[in-house]
Amino acid sequence: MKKILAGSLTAVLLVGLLAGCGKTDNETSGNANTGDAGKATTITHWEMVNGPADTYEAAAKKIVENFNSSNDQNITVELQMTPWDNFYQTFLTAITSGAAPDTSTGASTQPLQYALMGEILDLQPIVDQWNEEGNDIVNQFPEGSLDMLTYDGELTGLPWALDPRGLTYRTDYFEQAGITELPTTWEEFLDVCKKLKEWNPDIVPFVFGGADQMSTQTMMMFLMQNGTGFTNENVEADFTSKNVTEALEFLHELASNGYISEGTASYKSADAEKMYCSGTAAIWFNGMPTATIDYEDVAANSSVLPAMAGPSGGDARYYTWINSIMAYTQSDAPDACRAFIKYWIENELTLFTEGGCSQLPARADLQTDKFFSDTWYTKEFSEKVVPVAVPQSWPAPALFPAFSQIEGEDYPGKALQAVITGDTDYEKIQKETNDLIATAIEDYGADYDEE
Amino acid sequence: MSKNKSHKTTALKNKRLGYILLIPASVLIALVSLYPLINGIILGFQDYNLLRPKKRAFAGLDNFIEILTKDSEFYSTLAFSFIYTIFVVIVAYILGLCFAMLLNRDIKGRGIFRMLILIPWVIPSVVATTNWLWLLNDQLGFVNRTLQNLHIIKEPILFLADADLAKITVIFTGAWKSFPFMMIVLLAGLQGISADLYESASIDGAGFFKKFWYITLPSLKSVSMISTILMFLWTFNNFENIYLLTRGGPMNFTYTLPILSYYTAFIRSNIGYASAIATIMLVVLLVVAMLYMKVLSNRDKYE
Repeated sequence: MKKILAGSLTAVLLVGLLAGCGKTDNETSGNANTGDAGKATTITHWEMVNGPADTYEAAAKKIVENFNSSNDQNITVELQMTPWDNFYQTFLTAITSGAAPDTSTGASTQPLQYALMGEILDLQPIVDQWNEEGNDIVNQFPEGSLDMLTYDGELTGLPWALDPRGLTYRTDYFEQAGITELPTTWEEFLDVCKKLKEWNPDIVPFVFGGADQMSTQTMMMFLMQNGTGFTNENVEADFTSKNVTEALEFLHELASNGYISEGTASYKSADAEKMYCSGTAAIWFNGMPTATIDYEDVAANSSVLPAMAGPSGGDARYYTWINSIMAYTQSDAPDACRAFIKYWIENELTLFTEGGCSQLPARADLQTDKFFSDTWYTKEFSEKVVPVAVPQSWPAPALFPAFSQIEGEDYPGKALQAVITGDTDYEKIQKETNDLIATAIEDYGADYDEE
Repeated sequence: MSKNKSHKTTALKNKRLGYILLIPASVLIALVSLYPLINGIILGFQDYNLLRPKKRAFAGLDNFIEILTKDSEFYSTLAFSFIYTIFVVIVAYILGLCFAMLLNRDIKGRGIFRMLILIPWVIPSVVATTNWLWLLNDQLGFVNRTLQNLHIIKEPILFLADADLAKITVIFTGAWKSFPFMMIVLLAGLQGISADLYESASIDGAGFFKKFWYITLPSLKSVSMISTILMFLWTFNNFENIYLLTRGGPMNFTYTLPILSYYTAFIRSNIGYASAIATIMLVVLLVVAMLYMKVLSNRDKYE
């Protein structure tokens, strides 16, 4: 009896297990190419949380549902929202363990990285299709952005959003401090900070996140305004130049005069945001200040500073991250992935207008939508930042393999931390940082040249 | 004779049943614990970068040789890992002992106090760390604001921006999070000490410090050893306290081995090298664990 019972139980368990592993006859999960008439294809899309949780997911879901119901290839997209926290290891772990999604949005450095791993699907067929259809979308992407996303002759991603960096300021504070002219050079910026400090010593003139990746991003902005980056246009480490010294001296001057608070090196981006939104700081370096929505007084009295130029910079500049949507070679339904990405790019507007996406559309034609001129910060970032924004890898013509390590480990940000905490041995700081950057570039360069 | 044989058969059956019942748990442990451990050690002997998985190759002892002979970042990080761990354990032990002795007294609301003191231990690290970040902020933080309003300090204290203060701060927050565990364990130890000992000592004229030195501390010896060794293991392995507070900054001054290993794996994408660092950590912790086992076996002998 016991044997019969045990046997029956085992059989039930086995059946259950097999049932759990199985699929219905007419459904595959990324395992079939589209075009097989009547055969359903399911792909998974990982969407980063690019806006408020309550509205953004709904907007993304709407696009996915519209695609699912309107496509004639029997493709079903399953949406999975992915938080930005630890996204780097989330994606790397998924890809290396063979569990990559079929498509995803993500950070601007991701397509190149995964292309180097041989994990990115070529999206050139989408561009070819638009060209065949006579669709003008390709001309709406930021200049050079498709070249930036091209690796080894393949298009690794399509730009869908711009995440520009700029300086937001309090108009009421400027007015009360008697500032009538907005700064366009670093010298003028120091004057503005001085006036703010004299007007109200309790207000911190300038704030930014100095403890997280915003430290590197702040450094990048000042380097670019002074005509350089952490590499030159040939993707060689370039942190020992006079331009970099001037940027570090400028940052040190901001700190030593109390124009940034002494604790800046410990601020995360959220701390800087809190200081600006609580009225403790007058100028804030960040992406678009979406947080001000919750602070009516602050929003009503905020604006964006025009881009500045450093002493050796020439043109005034800001910079922007260009975020992409991509597909993975692990998917067994590449055509379905491309079909979905094409639809996404063509219909992405609602992610901003309804979803509250905290970025700007990469397509210039969408930026002219009324929505973007109705919201003060999207309007000002579109008008004052985007037109003078260079891509994040500038002056390098395209992203390079070591970029994400240099940015991820905050090498330039640590140089910034050193000078704002009182270290003025610029030569040593620059050399050490330059060595780190050079080593990262060399490591990746050597490895990939061999392949 | 037949009774004896039947006993043996039953014993054998019980033994077999025991082994069978152990199989599910053993398989689970092997899957979630043993496999990652062995895989991690193997990775330490490989040249494996996540961004170039096709070039994965056996590297022998290369990673270990490089870490131990060339990597100055590893040694400075190892040094701070020990400093951090030792100070967290000492501070947590002292705080835990003080509170345990206070709560061992017959006071009103003892249960409520015990519960309140457990709060740092039970709240999630992310919540605790975020609160510390807000409390210690130089411009908006409660601590600096209060000290300035009371005219105790003129300029804000840079708890997390100054390299030396940042080290002290992460040690303090680490100890704050850990001391309730110490308190619970030591309180249990204190409650096991016979009141007669204290009574006899009082009759002999011993004061508080003598009783503490000659009765309390020796009686807590084995429980103290076990709890401090356990705390050492947990603290040495701890990642979130420092990462969430400073991300290893400012300027890498609060890097510990788990953070270095994390950056090496997920930012530098060098899984092989990161696994070698983790394997060295494992060796360090194994030595401490062996010490723990020895203490346990000694305690069993005395008991």
